[in-house]
Amino acid sequence: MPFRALVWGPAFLLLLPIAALALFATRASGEIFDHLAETVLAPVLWNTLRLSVCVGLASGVLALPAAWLTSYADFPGRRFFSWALALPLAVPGYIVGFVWIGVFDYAGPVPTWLREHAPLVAEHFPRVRSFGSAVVALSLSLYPYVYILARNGFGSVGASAFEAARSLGYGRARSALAVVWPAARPWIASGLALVLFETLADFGTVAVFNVDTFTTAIYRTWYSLQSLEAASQLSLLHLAIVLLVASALNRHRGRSRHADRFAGRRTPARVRLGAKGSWLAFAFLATLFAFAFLLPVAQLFYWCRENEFRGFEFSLARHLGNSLALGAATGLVVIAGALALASARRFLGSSFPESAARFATLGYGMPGTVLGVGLMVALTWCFGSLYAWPGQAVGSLLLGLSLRFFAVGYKPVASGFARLSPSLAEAARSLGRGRFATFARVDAPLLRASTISAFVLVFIDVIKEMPLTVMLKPWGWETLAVRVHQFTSEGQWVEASAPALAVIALACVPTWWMGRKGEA
Amino acid sequence: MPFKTLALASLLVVSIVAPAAEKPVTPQKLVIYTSSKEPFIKPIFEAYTKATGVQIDFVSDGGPVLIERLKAEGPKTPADLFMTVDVGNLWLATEAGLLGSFKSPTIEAGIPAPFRDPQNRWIGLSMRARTIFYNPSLVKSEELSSYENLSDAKWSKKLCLRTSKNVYNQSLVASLIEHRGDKKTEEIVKGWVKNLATDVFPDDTSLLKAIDAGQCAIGIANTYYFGRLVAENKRNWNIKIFWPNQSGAQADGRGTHVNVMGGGVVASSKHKEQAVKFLEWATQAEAQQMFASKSYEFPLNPAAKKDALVAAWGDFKADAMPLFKAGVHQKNAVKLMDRVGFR
Repeated sequence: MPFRALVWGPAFLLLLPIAALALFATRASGEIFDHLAETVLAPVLWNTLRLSVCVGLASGVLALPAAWLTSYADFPGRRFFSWALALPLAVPGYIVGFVWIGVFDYAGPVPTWLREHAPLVAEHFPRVRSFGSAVVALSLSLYPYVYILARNGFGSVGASAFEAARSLGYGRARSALAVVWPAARPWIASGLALVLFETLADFGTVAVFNVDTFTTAIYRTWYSLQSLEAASQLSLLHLAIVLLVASALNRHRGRSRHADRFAGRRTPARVRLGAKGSWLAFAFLATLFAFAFLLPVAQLFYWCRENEFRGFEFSLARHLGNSLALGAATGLVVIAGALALASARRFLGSSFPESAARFATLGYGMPGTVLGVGLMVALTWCFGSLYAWPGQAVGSLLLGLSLRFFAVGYKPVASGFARLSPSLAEAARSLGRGRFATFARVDAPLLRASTISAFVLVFIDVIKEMPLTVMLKPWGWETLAVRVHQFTSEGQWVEASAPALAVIALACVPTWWMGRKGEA
Repeated sequence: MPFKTLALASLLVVSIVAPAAEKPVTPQKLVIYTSSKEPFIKPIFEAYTKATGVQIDFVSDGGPVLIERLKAEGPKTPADLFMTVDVGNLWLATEAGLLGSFKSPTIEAGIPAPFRDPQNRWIGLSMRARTIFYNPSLVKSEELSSYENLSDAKWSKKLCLRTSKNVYNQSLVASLIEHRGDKKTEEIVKGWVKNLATDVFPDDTSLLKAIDAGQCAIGIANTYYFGRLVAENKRNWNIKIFWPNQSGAQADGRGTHVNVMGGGVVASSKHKEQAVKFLEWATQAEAQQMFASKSYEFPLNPAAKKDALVAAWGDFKADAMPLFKAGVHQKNAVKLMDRVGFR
């Protein structure tokens, strides 16, 4: 019985903000919703749809060749790229966004230089504040999800599987398709799911590039049309879309466990590329790395210098400490919840932990502002204020972030559980070990790696998260991302550069670690 | 052992009872919900603490978020003061009954009547104008006259605007609705959209930079963004300020659109007296001068001096429309902008 409570605990908590939104949504919004339906709803739906599709496609197009090359080919620089290409995960889309505007907009250095030296090129220079730029910026900051998971998937295919395919007379390309694709597909689908959820929930990046999506429409309805009721109605509609995407992607991940049977210690020999091939591979990966990571970091550094490094004062260290603590605490909370759900699913063997988990992952597709206002209102109804007792604000923030990023931590943990071999546990049981002893002695050590991955992914996301943290943070308490927000919302990019660099630096450490681990 | 326990227990009891036994003194702490960004507002709060010893805790977030928070908290709110950077949100807060009225001769002497709520529920603390900026190599000031004039076809592909998601543009259009009515305003704003040189900008600063670079010949922005830009980077900016609607009959000469950063006392505050004291301090010349010079805004107390940079822009006639009207028309303004495709 306590297990059931354990299972429904996290899922139930997510009901709080959704219930608050639903309650708002049932109140009449007057003509506001009609007005939205007549004017902005259609373009907003269309933009959200094409943005998701384009960012998903672009992330795949960038990540899959990169993962393939670094996994199966050999060329100069491969070792470096194999971990370096994960680093852009540390650069949030909203930072890529304001760097791009700063560099490539009409008044920025690149078009200015072009107008002076190559007026013909300058004339045809693409517009930066556009849908296309939003797709590029989001893809550059999100492709690492697909990249990292695809590499994991490729790594799970042992050499023996290849050899088996080759011995059946398959050519190299065909055996790759026949063996690697089925094994890697669930991993790639998981990566794409993360990309799509992040895109659906994104506000910072699309706002910079002036693309109207569901998240910006919700914000505008609340802020400008003064109707939290209509904003809640939009939010629930948005939630329905997220649910649709989630269930569509789930179908792709269902039948995937057989792959591990082919897993071997031995990885297939890498194909050494010729001079031309090496050069092409190097050029592609170097360009990707330059645009996704070097360019934003270099520009931020340049702004820091322009500001005479004024942002690097003691308070920056304090904000960094806060970000660190918040990320770690949220990581622990999410892991506790994910382990509870995943083990319940294993021990109880029933389907309801699975549906609870699927429900709880909804938080990932909810924009931070939406989840934030729902939670803020729900908690205030429960306790009277966000400051009713000491530490409540911190608790609320922790709860909000944990709900927001539960899916990020749950997925690795759940797939870790899925890979546990039942026969191993059965062997232990047959030797007279109890259920829990078996878990502790046999399964738990095998889960360590996926649990650490879960923690790291959540940590990185929390460091980058902005709107929810801004809304629920205790007073006088700031994180790096909040600091960035305070400057970028006023267009003060130079001032924002120091905390933005700190966000990247802090998120880089675990990202680098994750990239290295995949390299081994 | 028992002694230790006893000592600990008595310590505990004393520490719980002692504060309760103290006489209630005036609270040395205020809680402020503000939509000003932390880097700008914190020095002002710190100056108050330094002057009076009163500690200030504050939350900085969007006006609508803070309003929703105040609504949800109701009588249990810890907030004493509510401050926003736009009069529309102050009006919304009064509509929701979140602000209580207060009376203070000091405040009335400091802040001119048009910048105070007729029912004394909020006051302005500093003023900014949303005015026209132009690139002097592309436009002569004689060619400019009014906001309405920017919809003229002669400005085709020359005008730059910030996104309509921003409250400052909403207030500006609200003022047009007040003076020109819905229909005429819709035509004017439609003309603006037709004249756009490029997509709307996410913020005023990048719009001003685009004017400087020559992408736009003219644009509309708040004065303090220009002040900040010039103060932070003392190069020769190719941007000039123009005060529209200064002459002409009736609405034509109504004056330039202005807005305030302001605040009021939260209706269910437990420290109303202290909160009013803060506002009194903030309206006096000395504080007003500090306020305005830190943010490159116009002080509202006539006794306060403008920052040298702001003073160089010269004097202008401000639109005398009662400020709360911007709040009244805001929703209509947004719908109107939706209809004409002003993103």
